[in-house]
Amino acid sequence: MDTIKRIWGLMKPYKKHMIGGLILQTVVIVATLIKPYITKFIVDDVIEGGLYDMLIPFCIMIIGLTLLTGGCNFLRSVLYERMSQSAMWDLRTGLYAHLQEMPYEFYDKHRVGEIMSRMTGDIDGVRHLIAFGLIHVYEQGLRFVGAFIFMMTMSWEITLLVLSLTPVIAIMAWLFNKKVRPLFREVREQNATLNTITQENLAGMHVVKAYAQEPFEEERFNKENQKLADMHLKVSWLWSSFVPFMDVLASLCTPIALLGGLLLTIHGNLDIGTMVGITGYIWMLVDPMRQLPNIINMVTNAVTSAEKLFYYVDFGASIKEPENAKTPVEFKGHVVFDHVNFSYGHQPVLKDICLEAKPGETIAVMGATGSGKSTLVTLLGRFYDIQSGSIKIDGIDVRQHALKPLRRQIGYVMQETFLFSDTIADNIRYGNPGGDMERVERSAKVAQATEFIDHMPQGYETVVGERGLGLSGGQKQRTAIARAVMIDPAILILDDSTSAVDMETEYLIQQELKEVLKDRTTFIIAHRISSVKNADQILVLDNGEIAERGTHKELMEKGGIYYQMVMDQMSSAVKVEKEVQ
Amino acid sequence: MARVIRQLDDEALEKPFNKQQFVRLLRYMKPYKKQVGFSLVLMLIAMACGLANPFLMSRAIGELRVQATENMPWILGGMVALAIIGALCTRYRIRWMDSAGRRALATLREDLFHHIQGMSFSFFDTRSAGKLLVRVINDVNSLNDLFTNGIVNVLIDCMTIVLLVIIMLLVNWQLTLIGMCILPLLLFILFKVKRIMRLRWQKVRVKNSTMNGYLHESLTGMRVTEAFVREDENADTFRAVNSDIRTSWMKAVTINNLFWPMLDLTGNIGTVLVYIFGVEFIKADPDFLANLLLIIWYLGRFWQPLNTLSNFYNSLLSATASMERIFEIMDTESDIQDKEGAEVLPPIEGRVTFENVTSLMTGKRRCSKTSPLILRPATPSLWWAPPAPVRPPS
Repeated sequence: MDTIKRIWGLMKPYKKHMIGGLILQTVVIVATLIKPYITKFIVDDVIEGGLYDMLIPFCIMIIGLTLLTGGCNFLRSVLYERMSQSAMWDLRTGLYAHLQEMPYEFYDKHRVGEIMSRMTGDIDGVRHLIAFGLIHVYEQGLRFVGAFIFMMTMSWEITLLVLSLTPVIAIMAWLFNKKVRPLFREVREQNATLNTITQENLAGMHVVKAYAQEPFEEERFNKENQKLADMHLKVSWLWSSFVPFMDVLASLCTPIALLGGLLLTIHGNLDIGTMVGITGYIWMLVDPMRQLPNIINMVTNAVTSAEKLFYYVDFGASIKEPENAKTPVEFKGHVVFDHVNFSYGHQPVLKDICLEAKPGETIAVMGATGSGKSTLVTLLGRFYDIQSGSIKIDGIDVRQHALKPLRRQIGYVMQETFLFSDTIADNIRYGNPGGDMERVERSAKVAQATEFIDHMPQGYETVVGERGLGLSGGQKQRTAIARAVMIDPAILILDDSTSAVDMETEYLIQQELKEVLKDRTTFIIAHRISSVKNADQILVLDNGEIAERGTHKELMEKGGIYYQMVMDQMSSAVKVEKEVQ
Repeated sequence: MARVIRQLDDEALEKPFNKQQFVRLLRYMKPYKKQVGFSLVLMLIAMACGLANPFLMSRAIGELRVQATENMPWILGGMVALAIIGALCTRYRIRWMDSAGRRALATLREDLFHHIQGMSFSFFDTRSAGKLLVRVINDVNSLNDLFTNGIVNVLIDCMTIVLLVIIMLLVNWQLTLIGMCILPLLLFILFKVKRIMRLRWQKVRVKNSTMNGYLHESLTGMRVTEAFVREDENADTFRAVNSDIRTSWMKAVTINNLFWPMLDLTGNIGTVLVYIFGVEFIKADPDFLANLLLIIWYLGRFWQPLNTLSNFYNSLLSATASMERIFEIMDTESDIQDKEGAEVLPPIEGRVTFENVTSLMTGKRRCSKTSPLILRPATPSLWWAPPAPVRPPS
């Protein structure tokens, strides 16, 4: 009930559309109800009664009523479509804005596919209800009652006779609906299965071919494909068992009405016009019965969809803009972690982290996979909130900073490089949409991306990303670095962002970055010793704790984990070299 | 300001009818010739039953009018019997036709998948997995309508129209011709208006898929968006994309919802014409009422087969587009194939030699002619190459 109220809330801004539509619909139904009555008059009074002069006026009335119903119906539908489209627009753009405020935690928990189906299928279900739900119930109900009354005035005997048949139709329609729904779901699921199998096969084609697994893949595919065909057949089997007979029942109403007519004729009190008129009303009694299960279906579907949508709406953004937010006039990039503890769910990720990075310093973070390196840097932009301790940037706790200005000061180059299906230039400009071309090119130069971009078919205007030209891992990473440089951040974060770039280029990038980001704070996460050894401070994370810290020199002298890492990397390089020779 | 979304999926939605490929497609139905034949017979019977019903009803009205009762049980019984026979025929027609169509479709999909499995890497390098997926799933699905309903329905509909006209002419040729006056209008609505309708709905679909693409990508890249504080611009773009959908939808739905009122008006004009001219016949013979009603009822059945014909025409255009895309893949031969009389590889030692290798992709020779690259078993080799400039455009 609560959900229905909230759906109602979506329609509220369009109350005028709604009421206007209801009025128009009433006109339509009344006109539809009058029409068979005119037929009765034509047959009884004009044809049988010989009042031939009346024919033309009656005909004009028929055409007039048709124009009236057609016109009103059209207007009504346009009003309701506009209402439903606008309500959907509100809902979808509102949800999108809300999704953009969701913390990373939300995206850790919900897959894109799932969110997509909320934003498309479920929203469409709600739209359907808004466009058709209310008006359908009103239309069918009013028409049913109206037809019943009109028929009763013509012949109550025939009316009751026909009416006795309609519950049978309703029950059949209901039964059919109940049986066919799970089948439809199965077909949808099987379709999804086949889709997944095909997708996996195509995406992993190189592996399939390398291991000569084509026959196995084909067998698997054929099995599911066959299953899909079988399921479709099950649906049409059920369909063919019900629908034609529902039609039979509906069309049986006419002979039954005629039978009633026959009995009345024997007793001698039936005008032939009444009989013809009644045949014009029969479908109005039958149709609502056939539609009833569909309408119930639509409402229940829409309500489930709406519930899922409202769950998103209610999923509060746990990271909120602080009251009296502070924003320094100029960010310097002075970072202090003071006894920071962070756990994800019940899993502690970072334990008692203390560190200080002064403007212009480079902090390198090393450690095994899962040691908490990436988490540590995402805390800077307050993408997660910590449990205890504090993180201060320029002396202000990140939780006291205004959110967007804070994030604008941090240039992230993430571990998984994601580029949008857009031109290279617009990808680099992503955080600075107004930035001019000169600046784009300068940023590309810093990231050592100029050379490959110039080789592109359309240079900076080449569309890349999922639906554009594919870039290699190193090219993507360099574009992402340019994207971060472009916003001229006070703090730059390089999260394993040169892993696919060769050492020489990496060195060049570092040199350029040093130049451009002279007084900026830089955090580097890397596995390669060459990437981190010039840092002002190297932190080695182990299981969420800082196990070692110091400069390259200090740590080498210490002979701990870092020393071991350096030795491992060197020896394997030497080993490979030897073997190649 | 919201930016324009790039339209990156530019596949043809429709193609003019291509007879050759249509025949090729029909070959998949060949194993089910018998089923199709039977279905055709059943449909004919169902059609005859459907047409006979108004006829019997008009006779019933005629009988009731003069209060004759002796034939009524037969007429009513006939109506019930015809309805049941019709339903039974429809039932088995659906079962047979659907099983033939679905199985033919499954075979086609199997063939397509089998063919794709045999392609070499260069095939996959130039086609995105997403597009191939659409071929195997969606394009094959879109042929279903053609297989299961299209072809047989067209035959039946044509016959229905012919039969309708013949019966009506036999009942009363003058009124039939008068009623037929609405035919040009009907054809205009069914073919011209429907065509516009269809084009507009296509536009809605395109806009919808643009929105889906944008949404999908922006959800995938949401972390980047939040990190780079791009929310406001993206919200603007998303609003613009959704406004586009609303506008195109309203355009489509406006003409869509004019369709039925127009059809209704045409039908009523026909009815009125028949009344006005039919009255003259009634003046001469009061028993003519039954025939008059019959003509009106039959006239009301005219639009239905015409409507399915126009639907068929439209679905044929989009099916042709799918068909061409499917056959395009099936006609692409794999460039790596077993030589005739190729031998099965014996257990190998693992010594690999590259000699005079030229890659087709870049056209550059990668090995010097004089010193072939030899890899011995049990020696790990390190491959190093400068990062490739750009992958070839796909």
